[in-house]
Amino acid sequence: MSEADVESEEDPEHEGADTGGGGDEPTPIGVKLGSTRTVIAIPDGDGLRTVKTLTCLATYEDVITGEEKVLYGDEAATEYPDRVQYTLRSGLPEDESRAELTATFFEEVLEANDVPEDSAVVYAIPTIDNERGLANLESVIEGSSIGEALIRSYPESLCGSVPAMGEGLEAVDDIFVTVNLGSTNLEASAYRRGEQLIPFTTGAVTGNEVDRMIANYVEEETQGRVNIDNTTAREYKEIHADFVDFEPFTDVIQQPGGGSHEFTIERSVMDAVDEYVDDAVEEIANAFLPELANDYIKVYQLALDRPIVLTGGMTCIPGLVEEFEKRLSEELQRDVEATAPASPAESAAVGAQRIAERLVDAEAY
Amino acid sequence: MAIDPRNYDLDELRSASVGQPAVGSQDEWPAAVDDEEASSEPSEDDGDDPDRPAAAVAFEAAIARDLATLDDGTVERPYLPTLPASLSAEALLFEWVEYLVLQAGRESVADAFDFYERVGWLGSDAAGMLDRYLSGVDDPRANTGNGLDADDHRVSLHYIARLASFSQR
Repeated sequence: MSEADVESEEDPEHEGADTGGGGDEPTPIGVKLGSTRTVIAIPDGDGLRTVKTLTCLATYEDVITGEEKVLYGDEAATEYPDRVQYTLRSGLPEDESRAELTATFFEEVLEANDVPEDSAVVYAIPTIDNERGLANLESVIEGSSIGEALIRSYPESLCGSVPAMGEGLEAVDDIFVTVNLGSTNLEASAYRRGEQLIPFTTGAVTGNEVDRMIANYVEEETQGRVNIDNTTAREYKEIHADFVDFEPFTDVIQQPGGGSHEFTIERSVMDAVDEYVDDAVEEIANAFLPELANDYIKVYQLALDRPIVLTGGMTCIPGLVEEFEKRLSEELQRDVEATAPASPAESAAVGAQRIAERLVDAEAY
Repeated sequence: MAIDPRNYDLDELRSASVGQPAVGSQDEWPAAVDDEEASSEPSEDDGDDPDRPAAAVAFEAAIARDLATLDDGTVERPYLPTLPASLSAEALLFEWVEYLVLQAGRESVADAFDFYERVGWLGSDAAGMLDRYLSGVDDPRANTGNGLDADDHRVSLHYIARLASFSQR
């Protein structure tokens, strides 16, 4: 078994929540099954506890009993890097085999973290036009032990925007544009009082692509002496990428013939994320917004006078929101404002949990 | 598909939301009005200036396209002498006033109605009635620090044209 990261925080919206599913009402839970990370938001006293884990698993044989054991999350990635499997690499389970792996992973996480079965669960799901992937994800969700009372799904971009726009469900009453800067997709949407308009998705500008670019640039910067895998590249990005205060860093690799090689990275990480922001702005300014302006004149005009909500893992990079805001303003030749939730990596699950809570209050189960 | 995030139940979501829309409920936004923007194909007119942002070009082209559809060549100033008596027009009126209030706050909107009257977009009857509607609309999310810009006035003209088309029915 693995232990996922569990954090607790006060939630001003949450009053007298059931912590274990033992009361009369089902426990409202928010889940984001992400391609890189899975996050589950569960009531905990007056606040929430969030379970965060890498969406991956590895199996191994117990040397004493011969039984097959499952490790998930960071432990799996660290202890079995050779056989760890990321089950949602493309955002949704591509086939039945991936769906089974995802189901195994999900059940392990639920069991290890005592997620109550008597629950109303809202899933934050990417808006990807992939019927087969959605059918596979549906089998995972319906086969899981949680959500006995209610299961709903909403676009990840809406759920992720909820914590950015207030302490309740203000996002459902407002008109705004949101951009989800995810690992496997860039998604943009306008929302008009909860209604999704012009859902836009591209797989051309992604966090995973940044990882690949970092790996390539590291090879270039070290004149071919250093090859890193995408997992290491992602770690470089998550630890070192910083638009405000980037500092060159050193790392050491073991040479195949023995010995080690120390190297310093000055450009590779920031060059990759810098290009990423340019590409993201290009997609929003020249593909998504023209379509919105063409189809929804007033929503376009209203939404650009309000903060654009950025969500997704890439938003965690310090200064990225401000950089996106600056470059989009230049591209549109008008001032636009961008904002992000306090914890972008958790916001989809937290927003989903708030919706679940309101559905429970409204006795929608 | 039950979990398809594109097919969520909007009514259920809105019911679960505690906040209330500033102007009435969703029922007051009839489909005929709501779908007014339902689009035709994007305009081929990319404008004259290749450096202009694509979104701004698309915005202006969409307004020009809709106004051309509504302009039958017989219009006279003021374009909207009086407010049309129609339930759908009422919803459209609230939508317009709410749009302007959200953009710039009530004070700026009152000034805008005066301006529209001066340039012959509104008749005095219509402007007077709109002031009364305005007194009933407010929204805490209004960008009171904003002024209405040219694009907002284009949107207003779009509403005026659509309201005038109600009068001609």
